[in-house]
Amino acid sequence: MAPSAGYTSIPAFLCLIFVWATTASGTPKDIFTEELFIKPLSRGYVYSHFQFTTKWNASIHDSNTFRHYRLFPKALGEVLAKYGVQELHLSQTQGLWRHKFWGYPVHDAPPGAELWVWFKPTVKDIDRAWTELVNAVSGLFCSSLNFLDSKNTVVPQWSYRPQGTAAPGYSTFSYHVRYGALPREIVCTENLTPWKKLLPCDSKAGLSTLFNAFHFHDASYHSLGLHIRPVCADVDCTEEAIELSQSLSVVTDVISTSHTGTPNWSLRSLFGNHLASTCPVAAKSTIFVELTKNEDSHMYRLTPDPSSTEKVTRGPDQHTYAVYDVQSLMKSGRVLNIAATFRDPPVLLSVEPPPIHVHRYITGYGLDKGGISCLIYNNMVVNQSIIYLDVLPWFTRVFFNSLTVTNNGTRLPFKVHYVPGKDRSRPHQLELSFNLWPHSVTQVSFTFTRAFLKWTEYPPDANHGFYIDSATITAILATSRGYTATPQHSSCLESIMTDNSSRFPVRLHTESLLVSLPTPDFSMPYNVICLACTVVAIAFGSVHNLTTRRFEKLDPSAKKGILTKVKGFLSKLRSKKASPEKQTNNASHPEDTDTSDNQNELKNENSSAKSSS
Amino acid sequence: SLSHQIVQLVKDATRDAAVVKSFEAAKGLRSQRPDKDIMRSYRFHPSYDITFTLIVPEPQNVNVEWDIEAGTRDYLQPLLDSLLEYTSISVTSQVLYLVSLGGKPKKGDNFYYYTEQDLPHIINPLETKLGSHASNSPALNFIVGIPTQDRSPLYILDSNGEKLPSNAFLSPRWGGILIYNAEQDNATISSSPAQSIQVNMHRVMEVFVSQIRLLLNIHAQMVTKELKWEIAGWLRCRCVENLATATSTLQSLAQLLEEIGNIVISDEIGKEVESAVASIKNSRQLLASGKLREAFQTAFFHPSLLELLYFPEDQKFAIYIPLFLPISIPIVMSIMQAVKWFKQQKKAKSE
Repeated sequence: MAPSAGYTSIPAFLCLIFVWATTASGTPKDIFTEELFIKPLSRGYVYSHFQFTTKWNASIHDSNTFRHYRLFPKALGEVLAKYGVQELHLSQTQGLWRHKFWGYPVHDAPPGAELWVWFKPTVKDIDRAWTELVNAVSGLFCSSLNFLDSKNTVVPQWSYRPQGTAAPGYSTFSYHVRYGALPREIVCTENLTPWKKLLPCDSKAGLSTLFNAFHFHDASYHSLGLHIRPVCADVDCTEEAIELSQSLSVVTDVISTSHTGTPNWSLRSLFGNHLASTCPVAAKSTIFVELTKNEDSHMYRLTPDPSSTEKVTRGPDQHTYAVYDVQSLMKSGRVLNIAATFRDPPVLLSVEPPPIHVHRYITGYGLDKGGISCLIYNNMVVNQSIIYLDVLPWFTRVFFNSLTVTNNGTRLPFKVHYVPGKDRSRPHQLELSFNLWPHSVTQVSFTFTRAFLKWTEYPPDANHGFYIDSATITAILATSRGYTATPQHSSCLESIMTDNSSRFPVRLHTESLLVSLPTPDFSMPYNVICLACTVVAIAFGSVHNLTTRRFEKLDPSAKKGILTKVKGFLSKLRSKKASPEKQTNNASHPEDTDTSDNQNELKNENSSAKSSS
Repeated sequence: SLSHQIVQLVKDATRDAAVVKSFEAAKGLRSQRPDKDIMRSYRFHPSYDITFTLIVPEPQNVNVEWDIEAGTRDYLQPLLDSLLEYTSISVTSQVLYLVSLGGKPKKGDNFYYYTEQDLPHIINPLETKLGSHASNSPALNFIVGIPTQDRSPLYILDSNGEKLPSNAFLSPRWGGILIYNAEQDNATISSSPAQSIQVNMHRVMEVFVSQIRLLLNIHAQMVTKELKWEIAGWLRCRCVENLATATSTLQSLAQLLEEIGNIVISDEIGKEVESAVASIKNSRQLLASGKLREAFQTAFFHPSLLELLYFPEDQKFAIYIPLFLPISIPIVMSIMQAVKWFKQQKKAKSE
């Protein structure tokens, strides 16, 4: 936009000033927003979702980007730069999200840890990059993600598509994606602390001061999420940006954990603290409360009054949100404690099943064979096509010919991508795509046989069993009933207010399963050693003593040592107990007494030898 | 005499004393006295990570900007470029909010100060945020700390009670910390509701570049300020250091193998040992003939950590005892009795 010289000099001068003014004020390199989303669920549960989004106006493909950091955490940026990561999605969850009662969360996560990564096209050896990345991320978050090796990593063909911007044709053949999950992984404060450290304000100011480890680990469900993806910097999409979204979701059972047994909740009762500060480097700090079935406050009333109430139409459904602009509400140093008071007697939200929900379980009995069945419920009046991904470890050997997809007895056609597993190197991967009929239950089932592992491959608690990863169901819904996720272009919850999309992608994770394998008795080596050694010692000792016993005459007048005195006393006791008559007989035959005494003393020698062995 | 002076001059120019010191330190001789130079500087490594951190404890009160990219480009890049052949140095920077310098500064006339004893405590609260999960290179951390508004201005006093002109200190083999007082350091300040500070990069970088030199053991030449001569002197030190480290590592490895007989050594390590010995011989020859650069390359090669994978003697003992002890006791006793009997027989015979 070089200004033309000549008679347009004055407007050109103004133009120049305008350009200078904008560059002098500086386009912000990165923007940080913190948001909290609270949604009351049915039966007195409350879903709270913290969302911390950093949007950095830099390109992830540029090698100079990851050198100078401001709000984006340096520890994370170095890992991304070194291993050529384009998208990274990590979730660590404790508990199971119950879709049937709670609807859909903002980010769905399976129990345990899950990591899936799209690498840049410039990365040559993706398996090696995956191994090194997994080790670096496990160090960064203090979790054992380094166990994600080839035995539990797969390349999903149709699920887990890139969520950010990418070059056209990038994801066609799925060369660059890796997915792995560890259902056994436990989430505790050890994982919360390094996750908190990545926030610009740590937990010293802003919404992160509400983090209270005690309350979180008491909750029915809590999940830490970290999502990095390239996005468009603005609506025109002329520039690239990197978006880091850190999320913490908690579902609290308010009725059970409150002292009064009422479903009233507040920031104080949910998190142990009211909000006393905002993060100084945050551009925006907002709290959203979803009021969808309660627009007229007939169930509960919110205090203080929200800054604004937004009615949003997403697809065919309408949602209402109460918006609190925290920065303006806390301007004069006040504290903020949002509370919901239910009327007396309380009326709770009714359970409304979401469009799709799933239930997966193990079938069969014994330690030889088994089966997996997955029931997928479709509560809509239209067909819905879904993609089903299931990853089974190599030791549950799947019979592919037993795979059926049925709906009330009728077999459905399906498209399948199946990669059979290889012992000790590759898991079984099953990806199906089929249609769900309206108002029906579809069942996916197959059988497997259990392998016998080598004795070093059992975990320390072998009889606990082995975990099977959650299955993933991906679908694009036309309705937003129970839907809380943000639109595709931004992870900020604020973008929900201006959402005009008509398609809502959703991902569901099922339960993770626990399967018992034939387990040997690990105490056997110890038992065998004990038994064998005892038998050998006793048998050998006795036989040896019998064969090498020599009788020698003892001199009764010789001085007796203490040992022989004790032995003599003991033998006298024994003979007294055994036969009082014999003693009288012995008394009349003194020579016999001698030999019997000798015999007793010899016996004692041998028995003491035995006891010492 | 003149020849004597010339020799002395050349020795200074080539940093002879420093070379000898490096050699002895790398060999690990215990008899040497602790030396500041050796204790302060990093050992040689093919790559280093330099991180510049800006600490802003109260972002709600001050709005700090620093153009670190331009600063490193203008002040640090010449040094890094000249070292590019021998070691790769990566430079990163970050800003940490709501973190403050540790320790408790004391109150002076109308300023606050740290004494020499307080300095080790300053680094503690920062350590958790420094460090990299993605690289193993030794890290040099340089920190610019903005004091909080109620503890400002903040100075460091030396042992005489005088304010340090640079207001910075160096931590051996770790990095350096500079406390930046906005009013005194020619920062451009504008007082809107939040005080806005633009950090003066010249002031900050001149301190840090000199600290980097000390930490990497690149000394300014007394005779001339030529960068090339500095690099040559540094190369000499490093070369000698690598040679000494390699020979001492090999010696200790040989000693270890002698002591523990049944260690399992993988073939890789064996190959590395052989190549290390070859490199040492090669670089010695090159040094003698004056080819500094090649000698440097080959001298840096020493065996990596060893995996101890052997069956300890005492464990073997513990496994076999439950089986052999019960068997051996009667046998031993019988043997003793048999010996006694033989002795008796001998006695009887001799009588």
